[in-house]
Amino acid sequence: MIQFSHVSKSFDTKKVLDDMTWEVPQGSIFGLVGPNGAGKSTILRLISGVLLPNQGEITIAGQNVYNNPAVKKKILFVPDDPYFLPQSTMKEMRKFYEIFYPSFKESMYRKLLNNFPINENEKISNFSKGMKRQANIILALSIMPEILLLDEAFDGLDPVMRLTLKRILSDQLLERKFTVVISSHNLRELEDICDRIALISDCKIGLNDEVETIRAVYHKFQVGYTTIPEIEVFTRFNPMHLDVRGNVAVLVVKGDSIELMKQLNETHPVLLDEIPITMEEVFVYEMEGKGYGQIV
Amino acid sequence: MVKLFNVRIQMDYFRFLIGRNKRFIGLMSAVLILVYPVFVMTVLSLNSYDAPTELFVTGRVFAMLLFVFFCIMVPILMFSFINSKRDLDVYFALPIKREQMLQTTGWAGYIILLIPFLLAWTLGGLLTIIYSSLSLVLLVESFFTIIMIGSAIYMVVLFTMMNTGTTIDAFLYSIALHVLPAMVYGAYLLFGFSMLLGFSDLNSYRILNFISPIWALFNTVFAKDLMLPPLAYGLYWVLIALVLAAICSYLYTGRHSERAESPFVNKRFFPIISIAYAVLTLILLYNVIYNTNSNPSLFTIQNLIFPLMFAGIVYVIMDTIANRGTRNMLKALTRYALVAAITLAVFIPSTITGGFGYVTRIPKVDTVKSVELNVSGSAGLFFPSSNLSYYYDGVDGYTPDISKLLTKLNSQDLVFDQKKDIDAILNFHSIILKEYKWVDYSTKAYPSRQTGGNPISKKAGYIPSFKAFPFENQNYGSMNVTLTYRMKDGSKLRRTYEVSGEWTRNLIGLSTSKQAMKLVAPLVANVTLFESFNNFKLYDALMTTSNAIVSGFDFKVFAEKYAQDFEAIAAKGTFEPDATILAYLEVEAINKLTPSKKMNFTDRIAIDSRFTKTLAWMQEKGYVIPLPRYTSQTAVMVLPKEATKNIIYYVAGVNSSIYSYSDAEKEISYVKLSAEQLAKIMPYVSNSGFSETALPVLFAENGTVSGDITHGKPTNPAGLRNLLVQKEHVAEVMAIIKDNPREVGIGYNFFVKEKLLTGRYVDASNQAEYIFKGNTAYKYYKKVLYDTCEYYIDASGNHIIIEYRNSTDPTTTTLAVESALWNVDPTGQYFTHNFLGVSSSISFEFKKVAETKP
Repeated sequence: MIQFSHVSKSFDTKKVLDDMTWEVPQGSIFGLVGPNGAGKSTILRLISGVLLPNQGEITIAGQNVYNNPAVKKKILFVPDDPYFLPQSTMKEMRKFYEIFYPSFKESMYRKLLNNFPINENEKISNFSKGMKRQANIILALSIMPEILLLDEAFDGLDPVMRLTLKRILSDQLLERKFTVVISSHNLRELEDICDRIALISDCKIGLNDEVETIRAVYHKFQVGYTTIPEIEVFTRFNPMHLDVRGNVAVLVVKGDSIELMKQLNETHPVLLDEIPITMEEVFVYEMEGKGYGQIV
Repeated sequence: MVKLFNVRIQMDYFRFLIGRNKRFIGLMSAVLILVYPVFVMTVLSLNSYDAPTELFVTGRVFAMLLFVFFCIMVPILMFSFINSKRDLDVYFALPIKREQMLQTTGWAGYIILLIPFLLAWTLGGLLTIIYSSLSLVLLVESFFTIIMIGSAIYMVVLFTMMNTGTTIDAFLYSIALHVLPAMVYGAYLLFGFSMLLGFSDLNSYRILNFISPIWALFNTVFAKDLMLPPLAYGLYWVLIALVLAAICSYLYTGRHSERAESPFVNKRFFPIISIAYAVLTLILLYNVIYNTNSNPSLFTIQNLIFPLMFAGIVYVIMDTIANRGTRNMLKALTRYALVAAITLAVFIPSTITGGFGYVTRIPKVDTVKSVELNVSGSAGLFFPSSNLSYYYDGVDGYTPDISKLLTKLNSQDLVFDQKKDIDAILNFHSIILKEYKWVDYSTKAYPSRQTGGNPISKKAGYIPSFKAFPFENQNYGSMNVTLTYRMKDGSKLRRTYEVSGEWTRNLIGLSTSKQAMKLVAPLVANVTLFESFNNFKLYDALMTTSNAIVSGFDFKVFAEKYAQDFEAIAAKGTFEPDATILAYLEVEAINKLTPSKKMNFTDRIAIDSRFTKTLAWMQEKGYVIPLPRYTSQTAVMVLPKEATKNIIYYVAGVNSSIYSYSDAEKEISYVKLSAEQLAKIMPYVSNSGFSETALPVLFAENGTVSGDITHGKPTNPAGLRNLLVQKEHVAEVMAIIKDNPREVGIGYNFFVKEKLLTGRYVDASNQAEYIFKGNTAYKYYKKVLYDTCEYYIDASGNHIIIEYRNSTDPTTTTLAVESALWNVDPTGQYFTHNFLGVSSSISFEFKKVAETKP
């Protein structure tokens, strides 16, 4: 279990995380979402021991991670911009990781290599961006880490490869229990694969729950009237989002679905539908609520 | 530091790094081998008959220059990952302690550096051993010294990398850090020489061995005057490297990856470097401008404006590069203005006050424990000198221990600890300051050397602060004097001045002190330095004949007696020429430096009538001083003119010299002496002393050539004895020569009578031969041209041959091997060749034969 206890992190004068207490349950696939600069990568770098928090501590199974090789052996951090030794091939990179990770599994490496169009003897510098990403993921999964940290993991992958990656991750999760923390802007990708999602804003973890729970809380209704009522009729629901066009209003609200339907029915609509809400919409409306992305 | 030693190298990763850099190692090896062994081999193959030492030195210099370059480049390449945020994230995320990663990568880089150098140095070294005179011990020692010092060069670069965030900054500031010691030393020297009278830089360059690893690298391999063994410097730099490694470890473990890719990860690094450069540029330029400016005023606008502007531009450029833009220019200018103001606030008062009293400080006599006096330049004018010559016998090449031995034997340092002597030196010191005060304390060269004569005496109201010599001399040279005071509190004060000879009158007393024995008879003064003494010869007072002492001569006892006599003479404190010269003892002293090399020193030690204990011991042992060969036409008595104030005033030491009639007075009045007259006069002549009145001087030709010309042409191969008539016996001498006709000559060429030899001469073995053509003598051995020699007859009629031969000493390019032809048959049918440069006991007779080509 990854545990953040009152963690604060600043870069010079800029505060990125403030007194964050948070945990990632073992065996989960955890999605980290948040606006640019919210601190998603910082959290991954803190977990991987790249950064030392200014305050608080990060532990994995009760052990501090910073400069602690015994713990770090269990973690593999895949940054958003993959790193390879200059002029290296996959073969050399394999040797490089084998030195540091005794858990590196040759059979897994071979298996993964077969799933991707990668030639292990070719110089990686000749690879396309997507191929480099694939190469990095092959190496990462071959290490068989207990904690896999993927920073913008799906960036640069074509749809087929994204699907392949999801499938491989799912297969591996079926085979062995390990924790994956993925940061991404693409909530569509995350909601398909993640058990839990955390939203980072204002230097803290804002939303942090299982995907299904989030879906049960956030609702999107489309309501039609012969004559549209006063706006106050809708604002008493505290909508996260309200869009009125002609005699139709679209509301995004938090709460119990049945209770909300009942209350909306009391406004005598001619049409009342609950439309499926995506995680991306939840993220957007949550952030809108905090004033993020609004044009002044 | 302790933490550093506790960290172990990750061997698997270490091997991985070495394996990954195999091609790089191969490339470096190829380049190094190309510039050293291959280059040397190529030149050798083109010039197969010759293997000059310089060629091997050049090869080594090339290899070392490349090694330095690799010492800078390899850490930059090996640690390039620290300058990328992305790369550093990956490395910091790896399950390895940061200290361990640093150390493993660091050691791997160092080994990657060493493998090519080891290959090239070994191959080149073996080549040098085969073709030149380098010893295996020296080769191995230099290798270890270089790699030890190289570790510091490497660590300075790594230290820079730990403070910078980009590769280009790491490279630029590594160079800047390596140049900084030279800047500091240059500024120190230039400031000292320009602004501080008496500033002494004696051996201060040696400090560079401790502040600049690149200097130390070359200096420890090639310099001959190291204070410590080369490996000691290596050890020192290894310690520095370890300290830097500890700092690097601290900086690396705390490195923030988010700061990578910005010019500096340590905010204090750039300000320190840029301010240091601005200050040093300001001081250096100011002193350069001041020295090249004819305006003697210290702080004029012209002197200040350029250095201030230039240093400012340097600072702003550095700041612009560091900040990748000009947005901070105003701040930079403000900072520079502050730095310049502080620099000038220290610099100006320090120069105005003569280095805060440095210039005018003369210690009080009660505070001085001893003074070391070193006079060089025209030292022979007032201080005696010996007839010491030497040659090196060995195969190990010219090494620092030879230099040390020579320095010790040729040392002009005299240490005085008696109050009267210290007083005399302090008085001399105050004269120097008083005289210079008439010009300017910042004027460092003796003013008479400036165009337009001595400006001191032309100053209005000038009153000399020294007591003048009792004669006029237009040829007072300047000399360099170093005074080193050792204080009772343990401190040291050292000053060096260029002084006029005319200021030194009160130092004359010191020239006859017991300390002066090391100058007059260095082998006696340093008797413990030698393993053996041999080839003893006793010469007569005119050095016309000698008795070889075959065996049994105990030089140590002789030296003991001689030293006792010398001390007794010094105690009398007189320096009038009042003793009769009786004999010279020639001795060869051998110092065995190693089993395969030795230094041979030869000297002729003067014995006059004051050396009573020495003479008594020699008499007791039965060593007979030979009588001179009083032959006619070989002696004259030079008479001082009554009308002139320019007198012959001084004769000193074994190499007695005559000083001097002025240049304007070229006509010399003299009388020729018969053999009988010469014999009568001999009891009245001295070989050393100083007279305040004009005295007659005896010139006698003895047919020998004197003077050590091992490294150049002979400067005074007089072949004469010039001896001063004792003051109290002038009347007797004048009575002896009263009837001799007075003659007048130009200069001192009384005895020129020879003609150049011509034709072909061969030795008894018929293997060595000379062919004389004009001023060139061709020397053949076994019909092969061995050397082309310069041949001439000197002012005294001696036949001089100088052979030039390639030297084994890397500091000299050509060695002039001294030879002299003497006992030339008047008919020109034969001559005896005497190898003075080697040993006077070796000589060969050459006979004239029909001239056919060899």
